[in-house]
Amino acid sequence: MRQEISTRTHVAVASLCLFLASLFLTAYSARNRAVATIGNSVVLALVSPVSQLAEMVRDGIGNVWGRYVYLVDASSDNERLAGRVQELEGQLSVLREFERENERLRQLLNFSVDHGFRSMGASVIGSDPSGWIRGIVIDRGSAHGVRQGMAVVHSKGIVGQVVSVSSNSSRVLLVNDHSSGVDVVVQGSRARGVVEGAGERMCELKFITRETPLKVGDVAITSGMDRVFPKGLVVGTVSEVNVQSGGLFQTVEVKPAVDFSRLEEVLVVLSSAEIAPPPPSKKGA
Amino acid sequence: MMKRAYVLGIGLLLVIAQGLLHHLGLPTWVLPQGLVTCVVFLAFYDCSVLGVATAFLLGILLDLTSATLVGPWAAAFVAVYLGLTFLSQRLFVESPLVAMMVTGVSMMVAGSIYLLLAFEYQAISGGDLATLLGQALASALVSPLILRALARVGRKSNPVALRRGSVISAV
Repeated sequence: MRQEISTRTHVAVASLCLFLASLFLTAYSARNRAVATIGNSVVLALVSPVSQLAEMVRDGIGNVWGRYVYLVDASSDNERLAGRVQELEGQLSVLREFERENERLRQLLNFSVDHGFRSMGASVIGSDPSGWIRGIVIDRGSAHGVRQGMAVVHSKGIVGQVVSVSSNSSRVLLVNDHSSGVDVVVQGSRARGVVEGAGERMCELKFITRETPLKVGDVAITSGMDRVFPKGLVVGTVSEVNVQSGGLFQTVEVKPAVDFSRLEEVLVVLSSAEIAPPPPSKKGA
Repeated sequence: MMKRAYVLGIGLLLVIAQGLLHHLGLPTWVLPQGLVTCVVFLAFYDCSVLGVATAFLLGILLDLTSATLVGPWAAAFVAVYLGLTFLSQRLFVESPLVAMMVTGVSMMVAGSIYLLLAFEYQAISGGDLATLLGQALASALVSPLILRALARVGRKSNPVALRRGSVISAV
């Protein structure tokens, strides 16, 4: 009995110490985000091979299931399709043309010539396990040239920023996360502001003065001034404008152009002519 | 010692599984937090200094997967562990219903502590009660399976008695 009480006392003291250590770690990592990113790189290195394997298994099961369903349907479809062979042959040649065109467009996308930046394709292999932080894991890491701070984009718009890198995978903080911020310009009015994450599928456009004319449907694009995202990429569309009676700024909601829940492939921006270089330091100034 | 290493290993697998489930499109509000069940297991079957250290490491593991703050989940897990150790002799956690209730409440407490700390240090913009309730419910539903898997190894590592007091509680 006495030994049990002694054990419980030891546990209580150890718990208190570890709880205080956790609070200290939280406060320390809030000021030094490098602590979290370095630790995350180690965890990523452990987790990403299993994630990639699971992704392959998932694809494999999906393929097998898809083929099975196809075979079940094939017998009934066969008769119906037999009458349409002639028609399909005509369509096939058109589809082949589309396929070639698609291949060309894919190459164009990979090189990202239109936007003037060098990029690399990557697949999304995971999400944040707790669900509270809006982030994804991609299958490209330092071994492929990915560095912390690089922009991640999609053909529809920007996705986020690389926050930690391991050798074969990286974690990307999405634009709709609370910690994220992107310098933007609103097309039309040319108003400048900062888009910050504000929810599952929503962002907030901040620092837009009350006098700036904005309307629902206006498109926010990257300004390139944050030196992260290339200039001119779509961030999202203004979905709600609220000019309150008080305050300097209006409240503007922006719907991101990219549906983050359906992301499968993304582009990591390796370098860009549109990202403004840092201003030269003046000697003797 | 092997039992704790096993719990950490299971914890790592659960983190991967949670990430995959979320990636496959499972909404945040039904995402089970399997690591909370591991903490419940430790509190009931391993009431020791090393047990609380293992709970702390599980929290750190979950913190590191998010790459934002290190510590909130660790603090939450340690607090839940300490609270549960006081109840461990009074509750018959071998019953699936009790296990579900304990895990659900533990998830609510751990989630609340995490949200408070993460909100305080501006890592998140805020959490809603519905998401927390949903996660608690989902965690509770899967907890008997996880506890059974963990207890099986516990028996192997300590065949005489899995935990002291379980017979008394059962009576």
